Amino acid sequence: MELTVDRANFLNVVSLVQSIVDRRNTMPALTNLHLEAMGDELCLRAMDLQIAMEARCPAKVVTPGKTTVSARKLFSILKELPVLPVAFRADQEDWISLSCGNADFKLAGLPADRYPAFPEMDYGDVANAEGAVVREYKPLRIESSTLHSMLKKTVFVASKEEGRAAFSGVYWILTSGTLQLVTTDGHRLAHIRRPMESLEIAEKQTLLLPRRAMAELERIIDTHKDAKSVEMFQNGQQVVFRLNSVVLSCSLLEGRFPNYEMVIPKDNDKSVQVSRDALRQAIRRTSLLADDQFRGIQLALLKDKILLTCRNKELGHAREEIAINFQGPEIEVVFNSSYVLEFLSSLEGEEIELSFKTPTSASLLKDLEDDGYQCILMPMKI
Amino acid sequence: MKLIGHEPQLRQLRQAMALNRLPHAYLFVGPDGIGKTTVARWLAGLLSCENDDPPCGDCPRCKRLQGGSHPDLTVFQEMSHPAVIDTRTWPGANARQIDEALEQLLAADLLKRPAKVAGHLRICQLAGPDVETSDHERRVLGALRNHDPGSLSLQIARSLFLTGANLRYHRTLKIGVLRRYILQQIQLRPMEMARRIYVLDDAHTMTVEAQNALLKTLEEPPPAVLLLLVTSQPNKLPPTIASRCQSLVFRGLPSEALEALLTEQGVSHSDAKLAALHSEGSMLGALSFDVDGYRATVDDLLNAMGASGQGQPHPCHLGHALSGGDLKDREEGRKQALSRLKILTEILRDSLLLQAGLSSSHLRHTERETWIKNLAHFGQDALEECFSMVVDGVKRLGTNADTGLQMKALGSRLCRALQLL
Repeated sequence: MELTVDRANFLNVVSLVQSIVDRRNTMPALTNLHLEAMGDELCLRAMDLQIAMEARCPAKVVTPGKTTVSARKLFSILKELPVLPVAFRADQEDWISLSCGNADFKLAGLPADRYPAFPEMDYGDVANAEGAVVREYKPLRIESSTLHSMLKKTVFVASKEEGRAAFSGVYWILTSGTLQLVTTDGHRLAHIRRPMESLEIAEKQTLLLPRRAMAELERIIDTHKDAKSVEMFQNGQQVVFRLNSVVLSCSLLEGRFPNYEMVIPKDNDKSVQVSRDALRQAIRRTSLLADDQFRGIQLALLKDKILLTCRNKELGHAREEIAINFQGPEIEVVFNSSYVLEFLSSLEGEEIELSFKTPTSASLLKDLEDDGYQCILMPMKI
Repeated sequence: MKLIGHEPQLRQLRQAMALNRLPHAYLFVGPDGIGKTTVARWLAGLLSCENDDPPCGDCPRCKRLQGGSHPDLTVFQEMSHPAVIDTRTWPGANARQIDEALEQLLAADLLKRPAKVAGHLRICQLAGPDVETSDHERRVLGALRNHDPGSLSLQIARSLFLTGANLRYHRTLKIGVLRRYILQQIQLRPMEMARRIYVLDDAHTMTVEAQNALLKTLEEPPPAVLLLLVTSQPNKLPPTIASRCQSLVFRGLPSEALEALLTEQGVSHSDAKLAALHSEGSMLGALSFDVDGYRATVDDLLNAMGASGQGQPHPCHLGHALSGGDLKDREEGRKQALSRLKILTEILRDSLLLQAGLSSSHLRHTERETWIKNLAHFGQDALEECFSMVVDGVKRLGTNADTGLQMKALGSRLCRALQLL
């Protein structure tokens, strides 16, 4: 295998795929990147046991072939190389020589046949009688910019601990013309609904996909702003997203997603409108005295004001008032301030609506102008 | 490794598979070194292979399973679990090079005693700290690349670590490992097979916490998971675990099969027969059986009893022959004495059988038939008394008393019974 490739292009794809390589992997082969030279392209693959990613970059291929090399080392070497073409060569024993300018590296690789196969997926690309490629099977199309903002507003809620599938996944609800995403970690829930004209689907479908894969998808869309839509394929075990030449494949999660519609409060009668920025700043200040572990602060709706207080036995206490227009019955609720702050930064409008029912039932945060995005927060008990 | 024997068990697994009645968890029970883990891997092949006669071993899926690069199969193994390595998979390396490389690893504390096994096989036990497999592989490669920069080092490292699965080594299977590699991934659908397979070899090395963490998964397993717990010491597993798995009991291999295996490896016919007869159905035992040491022990014991006509029988000689010299390690010394007592019971058995008029084809020690015949003059009663003394001695070895002293005492009692003094 021998090729020359532009350093910037090479670095771009390597940095894209290397992020899913898990350093503490069981399989030595999976700490490596799989490189394949064919035609006038270099195809890179990275995998762990739940996600697989493939990306391509143009290259001058002298002899086609495949090999694997440590993802971390290749990435750190490429970052430091001068902006010159990179000559890449792998011999029969999988010794890899990399030269760029006056710098030469010789890396010990592993043979490509040790690398797990990329998940098989039927993309439906079939050549017809004239040799042209036609699609037998139509993938689902999702507008990438909309999907990006939807992921951005939901993925952060999903739990990073992978113990319970439903809490560490993103729940997709696909219906013709609409896409909904829901995430929850048991303490809070984010639900977003967006019209999606490009989405054509016969009947409603639901999927539970791993959080890490969704975070990667968000990153891929971010680095490929020119692509209009993401194609989505599935085979019952895996879901594959394709954006330009980048392919992301992830395993479906088993397990039932909780009945989120039951959780979304419908009859929160005490509601108040407040400037998002003012509330955020006040909470950031008040929460400076909050307990490090539980981050609890008290929010009281009083006549014409919101009163934020935070008491800490060891440090003292803080209070701040925000003037609002409120006449309803008064209520006091305790929240985890980090959760509220995360929701406040993912809401985008200037004015938001907070609504409550009782100090122990779920409260709802939403944009005044955006009806499709709801943040649900369970209060804390003290 | 090639799969030998266990036809009834394989049939049962095939049938369960055909009827779509594979349970969520199996407990494979049986002695060490008879191929339980090999059967577990075979089952993975059965589930994954798409050919008519699965597992075919030739299709890309089977190759990936064998090559250790299948994301749906994970194997956990005890660190010093012996691995049999076939050096024929290392083309271009001669026996001397291979042994030198293994010595190198021994010197670097990465390997425990590379046993010299006949023919192309070597039995290796890994040593070193409890770290990730990939770190181990890197260290092995490092140790070997200095020694030999060629491809041999890669081949050895590969055979040591990638013996057919996504493999993790441990000393005790701790809860952290279990959480990270099983419990957190168990909710994901498999990549390629119908199920994600986890083989917990040496399952008895699980810590109590790990056992408890596994209980919930065993109780309410996700649909696409197959747990294979493999153990030679099922009594060390709590009933809560054992009762939640379907047990499959494996027996030792027939000695003919072991004999055939050894002969195939180029072991002489008489040696193969001896090793097969004395390894209790364990392939690993047969492969690592020290034939010369065994013969020397038989001669030692017969000499000490004056059956060879050489030297003067003496309680001290017999005691020494029984303990096999002093060993620093108490446990090793006990094991050695135990195996020697076992050999003595076999000698006494042979002698009694000969006196009962049975032909020499029933003997275990045909090679020393004339010497054993010499024992006849002690008389049947004396020999029987010796027999029960030795059996008693085996029991006493389990106590805390000094092994060397016990053997000397036993030696003198045997001498008195045989009226050698």
